[in-house]
Amino acid sequence: MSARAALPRPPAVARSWFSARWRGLLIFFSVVGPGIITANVDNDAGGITTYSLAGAHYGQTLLWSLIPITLALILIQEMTSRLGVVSGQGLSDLIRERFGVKITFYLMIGLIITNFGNAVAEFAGVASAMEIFGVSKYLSVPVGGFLVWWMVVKGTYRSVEKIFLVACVFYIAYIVAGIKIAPHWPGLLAATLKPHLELKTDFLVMLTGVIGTTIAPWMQFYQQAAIVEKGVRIEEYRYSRWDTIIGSVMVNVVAFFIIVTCAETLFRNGIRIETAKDAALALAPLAGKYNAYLFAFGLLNASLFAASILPLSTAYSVCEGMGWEIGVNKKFTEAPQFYGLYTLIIVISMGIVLLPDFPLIKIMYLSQVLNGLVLPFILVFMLMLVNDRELMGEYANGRWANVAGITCVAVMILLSIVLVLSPLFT
Amino acid sequence: MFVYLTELFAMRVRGVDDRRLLGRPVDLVANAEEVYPGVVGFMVRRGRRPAFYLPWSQIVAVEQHEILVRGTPDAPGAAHPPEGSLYARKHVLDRQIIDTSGARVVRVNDLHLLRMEDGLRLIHVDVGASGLFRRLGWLRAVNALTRGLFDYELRDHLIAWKFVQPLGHFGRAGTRQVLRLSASHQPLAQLHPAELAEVLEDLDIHKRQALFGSLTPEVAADALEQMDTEDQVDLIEGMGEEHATRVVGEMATDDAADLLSELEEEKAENILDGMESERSEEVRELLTHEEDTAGGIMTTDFVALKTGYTVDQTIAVLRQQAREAENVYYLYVLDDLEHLVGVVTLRSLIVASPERHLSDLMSTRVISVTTGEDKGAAAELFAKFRFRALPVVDDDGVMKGIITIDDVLEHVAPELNR
Repeated sequence: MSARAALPRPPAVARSWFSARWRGLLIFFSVVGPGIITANVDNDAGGITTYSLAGAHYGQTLLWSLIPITLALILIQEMTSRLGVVSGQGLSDLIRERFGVKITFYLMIGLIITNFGNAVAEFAGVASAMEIFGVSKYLSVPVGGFLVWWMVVKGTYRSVEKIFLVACVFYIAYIVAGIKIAPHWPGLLAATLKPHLELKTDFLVMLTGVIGTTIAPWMQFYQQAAIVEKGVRIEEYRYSRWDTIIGSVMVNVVAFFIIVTCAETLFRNGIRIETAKDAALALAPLAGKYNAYLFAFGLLNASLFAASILPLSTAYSVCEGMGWEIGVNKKFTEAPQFYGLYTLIIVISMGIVLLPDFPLIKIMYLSQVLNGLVLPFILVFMLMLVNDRELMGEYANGRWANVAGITCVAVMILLSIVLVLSPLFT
Repeated sequence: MFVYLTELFAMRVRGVDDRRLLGRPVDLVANAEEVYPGVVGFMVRRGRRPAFYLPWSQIVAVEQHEILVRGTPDAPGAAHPPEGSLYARKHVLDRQIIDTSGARVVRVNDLHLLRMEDGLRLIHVDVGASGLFRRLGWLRAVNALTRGLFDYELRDHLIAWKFVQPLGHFGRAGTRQVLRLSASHQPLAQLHPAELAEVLEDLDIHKRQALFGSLTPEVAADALEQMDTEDQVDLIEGMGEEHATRVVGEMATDDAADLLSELEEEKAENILDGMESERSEEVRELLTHEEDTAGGIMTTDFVALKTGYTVDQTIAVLRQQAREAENVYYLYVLDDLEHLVGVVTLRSLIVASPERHLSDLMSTRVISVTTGEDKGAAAELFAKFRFRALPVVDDDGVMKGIITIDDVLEHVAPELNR
């Protein structure tokens, strides 16, 4: 008897290891979504424009910044999703309960304005991309706006999430375009790993722009809300963390290839551009018509994708904070503030883009400055909440998480201030 | 005369004799047991020091801008608020509550208290725009503006406390404590199970679980029956097995079977083992039927009678069984081997004289479906005959259960276009 008990039983061990892995993978697929979607929406029209400019004007010299950006993005989005899983509440809900109505109210006004600026940039992205294909903005923008509105009002969270995950796949367009350029890989690797800093104002503004466009205020609200909506449990959280990490890496890989494409073509030939549309058009003679189309298609996908999420996320966060009824499954009369805000943001931003002499570059810049103004507040509130032991218990930030978090937030705040003040120096 | 919590928080607490400043109220403690909770004291803070409890017995008067205190409490913190008290800020202000008069979840902007001879009483919560602007300090400006422009003044949107179900606060991470209200104050009892289910679905997962766990098994089961399977599974998996067993035990057998079939096998087994043996057998049998068949959507909660019963006997049996049964308008008559032989309507039973036998009253041409038949076929029978319930028999004609009109709606509705 004792001899039998002492015998090792490798098959059982192997099977349980296998089944544990398999089970883990299944759980991962059940919680995947919020992190990957949030990170990818981040590569929106504004992001693509910024990366294109970075590549066209500074070549490969800014590539290294993508590594610290990825780390910062993971750090911040991990905290917000942990808040969501542990509390079961959205970010504006938590801010309201912890910091009161005054702070929430003014923060929500800030959020509405900055998200509104971003939404304008997205519809402008739709217009630019379709103009490359020869479609007038007076057709593309209303159709795009209707699609976005229809999908959210008629869809369920789960069906919309699937559409969004498919949209994430289309970012491959940029990777394909980048690989087709066939750059010199060893040199590229060196440029990515070696930090390069020029103490010139325009270089620093560009660097700040790249970092600022990757971490935006709506992202924390959206990812936390999506996690809560999905009902991720604390036992599943370690799988959900991979969702955040994969998303953050993915978004920066795409950014990498956008910068590479523009660096290898436009920068090499000394072409200056102002918008993502310029980039795509300038690509045609240098890298071929199809690369230009790939670029334009990527821009369209990214703009539509972000345009679906920004107005929704804004309406959701604001109504949650103010205590108004939420939900696309409610009637208009039951949730008038929710639908009102959602529809208003779409309609007004579409209207602005359709103005005849629409100042695209100014609006893009303005929306980045607004992001920079609102972001520090949100990050500070988030750090305070994630350190609240009464709320988070054993899931509160540990010492090292705090050191990393506070450093990261401090750098973000500093960069935001630089970005906001930069017009004074140029 | 009424006073808002915002106004109370703006006051200063002073000694009545020397007018010495003792601090500002930061929270208000009230007796949760009362239908309109009486205030038993304040939490007062001076500067950055921790807040102390000021019991009502030390308060001389609540004036326009001041709260005057008898003597000078030399040792603040000597008294402690009673256990289980209601805290205005910690539990209610800025929190979500359930407004049971409107069956919805709202956020509290302010609290409305009544000044009385013997103290303050919490009467309403304010969930409207005027409460919001009062908190922001803009109410007068906004009112002046709207009056000037539209001749309109913002009105308070007050909800009486008896219609308010607070949702508690965090105990520790991931758990939420629901405030115990007195037995006489049970706002949720005013909601229809369907409304309660809707309200629960509007809450986030922790609040939903905490509130659901605080319901009695009967109320919880009624609400659960009205929810989506996915939400049902979340709630049952989130609660202790013992409580879960009691809740599932109170559900209609068909709903219980639907729910159990979605649970993990081990958990479902444990729940079945914990239930009364007669009930668990019924549920087990329902679980053997395919989901898309008549057997898969039927319930075993029906009224079964014997051919030999008189009308009087039948009514006595009915009195006992009616509470459990899903439908009492059709009464099914079975022979000794439980074969379905006839049906009697409640109407014909009531109008018949007491000593008549069921065999004389019943209609013997009974429309039924077999357990293996497609649920769509059952739905067609409902559409054709306008039944409210349809008996289900096995291949030998033994009565197994009934399908009610709401079962059909529930299973067919998802296939209709919304």
